[in-house]
Amino acid sequence: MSLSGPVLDHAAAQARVAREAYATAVRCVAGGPAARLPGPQFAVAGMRAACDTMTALLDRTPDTLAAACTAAIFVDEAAERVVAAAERLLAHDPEGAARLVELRRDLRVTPPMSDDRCRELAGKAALGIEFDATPRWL
Amino acid sequence: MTAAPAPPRTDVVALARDLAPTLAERAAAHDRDATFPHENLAELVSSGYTAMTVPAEHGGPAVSLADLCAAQRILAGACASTAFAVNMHVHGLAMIARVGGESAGWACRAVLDGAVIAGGFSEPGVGGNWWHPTTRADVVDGGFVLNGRKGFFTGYPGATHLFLSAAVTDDRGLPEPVAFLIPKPEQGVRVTAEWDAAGMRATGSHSLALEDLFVDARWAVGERGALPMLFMLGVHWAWCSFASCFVGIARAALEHVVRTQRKRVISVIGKPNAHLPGIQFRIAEMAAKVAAAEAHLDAAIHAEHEDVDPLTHYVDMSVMKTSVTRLAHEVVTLGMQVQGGSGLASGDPLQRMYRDVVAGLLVPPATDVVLEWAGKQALDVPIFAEPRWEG
Repeated sequence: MSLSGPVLDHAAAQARVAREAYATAVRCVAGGPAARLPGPQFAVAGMRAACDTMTALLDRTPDTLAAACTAAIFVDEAAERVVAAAERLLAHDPEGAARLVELRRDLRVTPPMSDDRCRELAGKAALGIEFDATPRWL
Repeated sequence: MTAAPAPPRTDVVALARDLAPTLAERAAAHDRDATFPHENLAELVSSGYTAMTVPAEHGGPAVSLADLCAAQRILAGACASTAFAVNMHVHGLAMIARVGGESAGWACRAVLDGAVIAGGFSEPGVGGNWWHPTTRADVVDGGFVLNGRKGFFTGYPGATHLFLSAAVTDDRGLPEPVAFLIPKPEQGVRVTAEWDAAGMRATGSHSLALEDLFVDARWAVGERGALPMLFMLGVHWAWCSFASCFVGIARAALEHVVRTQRKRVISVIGKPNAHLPGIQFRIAEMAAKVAAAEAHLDAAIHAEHEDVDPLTHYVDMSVMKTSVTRLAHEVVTLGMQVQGGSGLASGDPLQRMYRDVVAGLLVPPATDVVLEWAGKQALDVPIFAEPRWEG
């Protein structure tokens, strides 16, 4: 069975978690005094930018293992960055922080393929090396 | 005119592929000497490349934004300076053509005859707030007299026409920003500093002083005060094409590093470096960031551009440019780590890409303004409210 589907599904789930973390941050900050401070403005803008990039990438990733792994590498890092930014922003907001605890747990769901295996496959694909070449390295 | 133009070409992506190898051969010398690539520009004119954004109603090929960006990515991978210099021309003309009217008509005719446009909206002290030009346009009989300073006037040495901004003061004392497209004048424009920088060294991005420069009224593009709206509604041409240049550098850096690591053999291991896990992991990160940057750019290229709220459109495109150029910079930085010390050597094009790609972080729109506007928009804070921040 091809792993590209599960890898992409997992990446899409991570992107949804990130989008929800961004929405939570906006919901909790908008209308309050923090919304008129530069720090929160910059933070939510950074989250939004990362979410837009993740969405665009997943919409355009072909259903091949190499492409799926390549996209997953980006989404894994970007989603982590978004959730971490939301956690910092809402550290003193009990409702927002509670929601982010749930989202952090969702983000940690075990991926169908380890990060290192994704990097190996994506790297080998970019370098034109067969996935199952032996020895695995050198 | 820089060269006799060929009939306009619609297949600009194929044309860019044809031109790229020659541009790549010349890139190192122009970078080393900080010379403007006049011969490259002449080839872009004579091949019909510079006419790509002339609309069909003016006899041009009306190349799409997607094809423009694809072609510019290829050129940038070969010679980023040439791509960035001609970018001012192709996207500038698209924005002028979008305004329509007399100025669009004569600009398009001039370009079909071989004219080349350089753009100058940046000014010292404006800090990326291009909609607040400090260059003054005083109304006189038959036109305007301009006084002010322009920085980063990319493509100036090869230009036949200048696309620039200034502000007329209205009856209430308020500035009305306006754009002009003028034939490059014999007098009234002085080069105060020739471009000599770490990156994009062959772009001729000189600093200029406009000194009692008379501009005929017919060279105005759009109505007085219309410049911000003109720019916001046409901004996809600007920011997508800017981003394309830097994505092109990133893609070229990835391909160059992959080629090198597939060939480079360290004697103690006896196989190409490509078989080392650390190399594979970093190449994977580069490939992931390139794919992400290309995807975000592609989404912006194919977004709705006509039936839009101007400010939302401007913010969307600006967020894309900011993200894409940051990713492009990260890609080339990773490439330097993969390549090792040889990547710093003057004979390796990666060091030029490394210096060129930094410019993506610095060219408009200013990152901090983009983050401020996108943040305020998301948090439902009026973007132009005063005071700008509270606390």
